[in-house]
Amino acid sequence: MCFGICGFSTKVKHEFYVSVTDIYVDAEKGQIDGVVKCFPDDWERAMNALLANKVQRYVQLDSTSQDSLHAVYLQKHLNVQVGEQSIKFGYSGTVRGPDEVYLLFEGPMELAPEEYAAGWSVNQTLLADIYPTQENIVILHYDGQKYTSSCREGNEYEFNHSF
Amino acid sequence: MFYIELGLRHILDIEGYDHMLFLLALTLPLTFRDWKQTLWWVTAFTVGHSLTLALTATELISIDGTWVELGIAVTIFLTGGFHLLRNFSVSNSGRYLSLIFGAVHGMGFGSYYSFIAQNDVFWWAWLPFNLGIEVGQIALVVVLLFVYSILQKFGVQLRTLRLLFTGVVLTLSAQMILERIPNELF
Repeated sequence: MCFGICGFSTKVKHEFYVSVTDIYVDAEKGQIDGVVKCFPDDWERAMNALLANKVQRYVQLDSTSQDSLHAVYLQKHLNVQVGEQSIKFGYSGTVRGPDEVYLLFEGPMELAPEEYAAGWSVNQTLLADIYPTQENIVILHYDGQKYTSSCREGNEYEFNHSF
Repeated sequence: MFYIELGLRHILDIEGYDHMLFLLALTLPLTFRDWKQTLWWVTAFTVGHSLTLALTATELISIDGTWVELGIAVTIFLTGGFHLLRNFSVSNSGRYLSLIFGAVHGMGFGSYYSFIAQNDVFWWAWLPFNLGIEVGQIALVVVLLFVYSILQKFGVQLRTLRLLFTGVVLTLSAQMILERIPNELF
């Protein structure tokens, strides 16, 4: 019995496509800070896809051009609302670890701090354009409380929460 | 709650079917009447899996992922072969087999866990995550045993069924082994 001939391959290992995003409501600074952690190879692949038909590849770009790509991509793939108010996140930099990339972003607190206690709606499709099984874990931090959920295909990359 | 769900999805994810295949191999000699042994075997697997998951995620042990993947395929083959050679008899040795082989499977997941649960989350999420794995495994095993009993009701001999599933387990795991042998061995 040859499963290979029937189109069934056992070669596919259990690959995991995942990112972790922390979003902090910092009432003292009047700011919302965030950081996305993802695998460098996944990120590079997403950036190369953004470059599409351009001859230059992501790794060949200077850091300013790479940052521009990061900003465009984050803006497209991360949407957070509290009540009716969208948080206007701006990309603020990248930190590279040995096995991960950290993308930093921040946005202004346009509501009173207590209004961030309810009505969170998080939509994050980061890397889902590359990997359909991508799961983006999101941890919301508010007033010493923490809530963890994830954006994935099963929930259409979106979840809601009230503290 | 999130980490329980994550552990559950880890087990039930069809892309991780090597895990499911192992559970199929593990339950080959079992029926609903052996529910105590079933629980022991599944729990022993979770304990082994949880321990090495923590050890690899904290980098206390480090084994190349290629070898771990090969090891996982080998455990499936050996489990199927073990039950076949023992003529599908149920004994306490099954739980030790589960414990050891669970430990091999846990190593395959350490790097993923350390990525998703760093710093203060690491130990706090470890128990719920493994609890999710345990619940997912028990659910899968119950489904498998249910399928056995339904097929039996339709007149399929239990031994025929076991031999058939053993064939599936051995064939797929042998193919996995061949495909996962690291290139450096050639």
